[in-house]
Amino acid sequence: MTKNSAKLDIDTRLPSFRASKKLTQQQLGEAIGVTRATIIAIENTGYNPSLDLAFRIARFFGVTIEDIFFLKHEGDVNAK
Amino acid sequence: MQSKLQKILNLNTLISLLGIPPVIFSLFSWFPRWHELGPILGVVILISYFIWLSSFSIFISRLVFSPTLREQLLTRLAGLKERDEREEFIVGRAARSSFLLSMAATLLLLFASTIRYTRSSLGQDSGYIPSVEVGKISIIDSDYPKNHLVPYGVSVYDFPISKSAILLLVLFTQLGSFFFYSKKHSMISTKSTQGQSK
Repeated sequence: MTKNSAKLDIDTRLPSFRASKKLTQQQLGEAIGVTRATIIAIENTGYNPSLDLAFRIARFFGVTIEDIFFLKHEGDVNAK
Repeated sequence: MQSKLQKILNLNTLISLLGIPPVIFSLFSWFPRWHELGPILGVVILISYFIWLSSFSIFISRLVFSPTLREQLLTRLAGLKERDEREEFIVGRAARSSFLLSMAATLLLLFASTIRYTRSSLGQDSGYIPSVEVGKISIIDSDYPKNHLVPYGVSVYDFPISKSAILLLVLFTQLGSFFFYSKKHSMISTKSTQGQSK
């Protein structure tokens, strides 16, 4: 692996977006067509969703991908 | 016409799958031979076996040449769940790990299959001369040809890589390692999540 191919440290605001809509992980998973375990993985273990899934999540909440996912070292500047 | 053919193929699959456990059990030495079961039961078992064998030959050919059947059957056998992209990722990682492990196991078995141990008996009181060969190269060589001794009997011990039990072991290694790595990768991607569903 080259220096430039190191994985980016991406964080998410998905739990707060989900909480704002009062949805369970199961309900969100069903709404965007993934399992509850995938929502758990995104929220808690830093699992990076595909671009397709990231778009589906963003569209569901009516925001952009960068509102939900951000680089950790850039800080949570758009925190809502 | 097509549904009739489909029914025949389904029957072929059913007969083939139902017959596998008894055939696997019959590999063990404690399993009774068909002629030991009496004239009527023995003949019934023999005829059933031939029906199964014909059916299974067709089934195995279908499994090799039909991607659809492979997908339907082997994914179920291996317990593959690909309901979303994360599960596809887990299956990919587990398949990679399992492939590498079974490849290593196959290489080990291949190496073991080249080892041959031979005991050349020189008669009741004369003992025996051992010989170990790896491939065509002798590691411990017997010297009876040099002494012009004629062996009384020769026993050869080698690793039977083509035996069904060994192939079954490889198959179970593949399946077992796949299940293990699926669980492992699944746990890594959902660790410390218990009680998190709000």
